[in-house]
Amino acid sequence: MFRRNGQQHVTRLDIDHDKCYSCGACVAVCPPDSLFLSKLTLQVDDTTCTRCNRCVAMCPVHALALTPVESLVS
Amino acid sequence: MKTSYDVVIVGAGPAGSAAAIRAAESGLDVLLIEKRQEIGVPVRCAEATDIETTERFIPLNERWIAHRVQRYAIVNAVGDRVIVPPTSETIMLDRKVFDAALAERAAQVGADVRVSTAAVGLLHDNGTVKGVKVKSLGRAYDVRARLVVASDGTESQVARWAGLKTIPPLADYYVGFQFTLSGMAAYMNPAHCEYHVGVETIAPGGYVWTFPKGEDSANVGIVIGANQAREVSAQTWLERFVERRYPGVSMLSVVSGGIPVTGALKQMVTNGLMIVGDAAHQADPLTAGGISLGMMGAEMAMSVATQAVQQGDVSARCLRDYEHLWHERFGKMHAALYSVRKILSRMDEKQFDALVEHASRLPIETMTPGEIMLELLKAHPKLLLEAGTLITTGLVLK
Repeated sequence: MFRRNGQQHVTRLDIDHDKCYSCGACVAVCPPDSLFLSKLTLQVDDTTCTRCNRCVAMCPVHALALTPVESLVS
Repeated sequence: MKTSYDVVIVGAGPAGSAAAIRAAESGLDVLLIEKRQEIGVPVRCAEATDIETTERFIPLNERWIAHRVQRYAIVNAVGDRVIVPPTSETIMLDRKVFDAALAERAAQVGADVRVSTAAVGLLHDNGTVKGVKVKSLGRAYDVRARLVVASDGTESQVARWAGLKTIPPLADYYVGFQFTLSGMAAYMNPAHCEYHVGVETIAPGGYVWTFPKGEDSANVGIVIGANQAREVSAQTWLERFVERRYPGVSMLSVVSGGIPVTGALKQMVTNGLMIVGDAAHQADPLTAGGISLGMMGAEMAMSVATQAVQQGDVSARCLRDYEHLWHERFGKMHAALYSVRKILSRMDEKQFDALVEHASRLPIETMTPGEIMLELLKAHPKLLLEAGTLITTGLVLK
């Protein structure tokens, strides 16, 4: 998932704000501390997120997903 | 605002407020801060706790006691139930009111309490935490303190800043979801808290609870193992359970969250800083209950902190007595509960159903845990392998 030599990630963490309750379950398990609640809205710092996928498993309502960047473009 | 204290406590949940109460009672100058604009909101909890611990900190008050419970029942997927006498009387809290009352209690015994005040960083000096950078009502301050207490929950930022945050594997997390339901009178005994266990059809790696909040309402929630949560979400598992078991009920509230169930962190102190409550992973590693444990953690921490502050030595070496106190009191028991959770998650549903069916016919109330275990082993010899784990962790031979 993570490409070295300065290349871009091929996935991106998407947050479905219609589902998210801002409970912070994902924040607690994020190793690089890339997820945070800003004014009770969940946000991700895309530059530090390592796409480790822990938050995706941890979300009680499946509001998080790693989406291929290609499919976002097309 | 005043910017110098003996102790600054970050987070006004039960552990934070309990710490503030104990520290203020010992004569320390205390600030308790809460980032939210109202204490106790939103509720993120099943709200059951024991009377004994609660009473140590605040006189009981019907304003925040929603309901009293006499028994716990473990129920299998086919409806057999084992009724277990509780070790101490259980109350269902109204956490919104309780959390606010506990913080108010802290204020009454001398602590300064401030909402809408978020910690945004730590002040350091020579490798020792010396205070907290805060944003309070829109303004920034540096608040100096001899000691900082992190009680900012499972997603603790303060513990991260202090370098104490360890993130356990997903296998040691529960994913949780809960409804408060009304229209429950036909479906429950209001005197019983129920744990529904079924690793295949109810809650993989966890359980569903039905905790009455009155004659007709209950907190009905689920925890599942985080590494078993990828295909079907905790929310979906719980929706299925409620549709099947409690048709026609109304939903009054929704809560979601995650809980580490590792047992407390090995390291809960550093120079000038202590962690308590969920931030220190002090919840019960089987049930994930954490209110009274967090409050007890806070009490232990503040008994050590008071001496440390008064003697002017808040080094990790001195504060470490708190870790010793905790592990002496809860270490063994929590190791055993951790093993029980692992065993339960390995059992298939049929095995567990048979176990509960057998136990439901035993006079549990007149038996010791050892006798119950022996009786079950006779009927289910396969359990012997698993029982070894329990015996070594000291649960059965207690």
